[in-house]
Amino acid sequence: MKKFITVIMAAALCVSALTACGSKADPAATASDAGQAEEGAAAGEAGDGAEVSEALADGVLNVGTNAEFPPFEYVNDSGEPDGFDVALIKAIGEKLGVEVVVDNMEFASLVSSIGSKIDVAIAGMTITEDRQKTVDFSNPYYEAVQYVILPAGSEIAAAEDLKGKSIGVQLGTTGDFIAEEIEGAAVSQYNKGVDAVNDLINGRVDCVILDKNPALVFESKFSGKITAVDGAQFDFGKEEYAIAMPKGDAVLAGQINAALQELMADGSFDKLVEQYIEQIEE
Amino acid sequence: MIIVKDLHKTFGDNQVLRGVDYHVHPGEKIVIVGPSGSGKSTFLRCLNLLERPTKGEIWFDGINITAAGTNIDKVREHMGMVFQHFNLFNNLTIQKNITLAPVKLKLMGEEEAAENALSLLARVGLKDKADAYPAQLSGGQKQRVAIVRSLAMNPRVMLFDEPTSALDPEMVGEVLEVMKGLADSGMTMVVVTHEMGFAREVGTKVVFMDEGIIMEENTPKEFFTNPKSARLQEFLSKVL
Amino acid sequence: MQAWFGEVAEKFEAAFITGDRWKLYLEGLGVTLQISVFAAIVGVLIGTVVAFMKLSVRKNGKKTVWAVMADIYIDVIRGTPSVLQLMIIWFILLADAKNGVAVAVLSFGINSGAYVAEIIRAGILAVDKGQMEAGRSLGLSNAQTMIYVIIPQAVKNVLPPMGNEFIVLLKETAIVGYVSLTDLTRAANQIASRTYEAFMPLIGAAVIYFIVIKILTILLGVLERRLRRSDNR
Repeated sequence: MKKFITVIMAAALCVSALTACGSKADPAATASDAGQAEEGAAAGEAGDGAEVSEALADGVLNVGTNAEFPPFEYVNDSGEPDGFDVALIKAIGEKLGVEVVVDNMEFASLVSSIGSKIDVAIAGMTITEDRQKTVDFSNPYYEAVQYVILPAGSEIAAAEDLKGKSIGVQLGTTGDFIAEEIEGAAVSQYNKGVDAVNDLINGRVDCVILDKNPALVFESKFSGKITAVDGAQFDFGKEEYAIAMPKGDAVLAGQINAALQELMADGSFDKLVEQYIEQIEE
Repeated sequence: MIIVKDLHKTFGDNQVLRGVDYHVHPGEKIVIVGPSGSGKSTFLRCLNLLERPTKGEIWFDGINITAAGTNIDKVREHMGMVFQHFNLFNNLTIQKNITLAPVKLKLMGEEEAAENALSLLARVGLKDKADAYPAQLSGGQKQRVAIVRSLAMNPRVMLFDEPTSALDPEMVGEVLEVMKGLADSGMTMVVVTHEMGFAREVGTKVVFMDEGIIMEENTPKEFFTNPKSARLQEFLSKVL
Repeated sequence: MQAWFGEVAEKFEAAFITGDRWKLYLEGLGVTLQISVFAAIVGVLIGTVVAFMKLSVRKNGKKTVWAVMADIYIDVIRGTPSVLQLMIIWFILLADAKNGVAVAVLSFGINSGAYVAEIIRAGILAVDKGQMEAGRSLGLSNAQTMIYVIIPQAVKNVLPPMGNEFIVLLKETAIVGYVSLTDLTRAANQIASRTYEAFMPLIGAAVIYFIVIKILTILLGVLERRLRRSDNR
């Protein structure tokens, strides 16, 4: 077993060195990234913020998202990631004076990519204790709740009804974690919310648990076939979306929170809400 | 026994047979010689319809085998064929090679076929190879087995398609020996070969084919001592 | 170094031991093998039929309707990504089917069938045509010669590439996560989404695939050697 672990460790070194090299050209940034991937968590709160903000100072903020979560993030008609979150992080980037490069990736791999492939992630991501073990979060920028999407005519109406049902979710999302806790439920994890909704319509799952806003988008897209029900009816708690950042990078957190604050104060934030979110809720 | 009328065969644009007429009588040993590309192998392969003639008729024992609806498998049961490359079934033992067709065609029971195979193998001196696989035999041994395999069907005629051409020289004799024995037993044979000695010694008729037709046909003696056509004279001067 | 070692051990524990997560890999491997094995069976059945369809020739030497159908099938399957085939079958053609594993088996079986068909066809064509002629010259029918002479020899030609095809198929099933089935790859992803640490689960899954395929490769090698030995028995 010891030998096995040694092999794994050797492999770990190689791989992390490789990914770090791949994502950054600047040798200084490479060194700090590699160090962070290996020792970031161990070094813990001690942090090496100055060095990372130096990485930011190269003028680029690498942002990860998962563009399968309308209206917060989706791929627009010209094939680019778009949506409330994308617009928000671009506005933040503008305030910070850096270029924002958005990388569309699997939701499930966002958190583990922070600090290596990406600098931060914005993806309608709920603050959870589990995630906080690995990353830091900005101040929350949106309050959301999970919704339960049901086929038309479904008899599911309360928390009790969800027990033992087959439930569709998007892998690694809050809905996934909620479903996991439901007694006797068979959870089907999809890469995309829309795939889960399709299988709901096909009858493969009994319900889908998804964040409120995408749930409402799907309800309007598949109107008549499905209904989206407020999770409060199923005793789901409220949750808060925030931007995930490398653990212990106080400088970056400060910069981003300040920018967020400014955007909220000058009314730009509300404009984005209006433009991307409220339109759909009406 | 075999009557061939105006046989034509073309491969694409290539006219290989351009009107062959021939009559094989029971008990005859017809030896066909000729330069390569003369159509002699194609002619032989047409006799049991391994090649489908483009035009013309072939009659075997009073049946037009080129007519539509003839059960060619039934006809082939009575026409043995020996190939240049032996074509023993590589996946079967020597004995199974010999018994496969008689047993599967329900001409013999398993045991009867096995006994028959062993006695035929004994005749060609290969009884001890019954349980061997083809890959373990020399070329000459393979060809003797191939002859025995055909004989196991009790054919009325045996066709030989250059049976010694693929053999090392020292093995030619043992195969020709078996063929001579077969000829002596009265079997009707049609043999395509380059072995002029065999043609002279065993043949009742020797046929010279060239450019897709039969140019000349005669008794061995006349054929070799008194060739008529210039083409045959030229051919013989090269091979003898 | 000590700290680093401790951290790796911690990640290892999170990825494999906490909450009996190793069971998830094994369950995932079970699904992977289940889909692979049954899809291989379906693939061989389809492939055999299609190979013979493709080998069929009309008297005038032209292609039969069967051969044309086989050509189209092989073209379509080889010309499209298997992940799209899976999603099309899952979300469109068999949208109502409830047994997810069965849908995946069918999808991969149809996919593999095209490749198996080509393998079998090549295996049969590789048997010397003199074997068929010898069989026919003895009065055996085309079918009899096929069954007793050609196919037994073709099987030897076909087994090694078939083994390779199975290995490819097994790895290809890693895409079933797209349709919410929890195979080995998806199990690793699922654990990564819980631990927020992708390295250990992904390497773990890769090691498991590697071991399974290594075992298969060794078994195939043994089989191949045994077959070759029977050639000069």
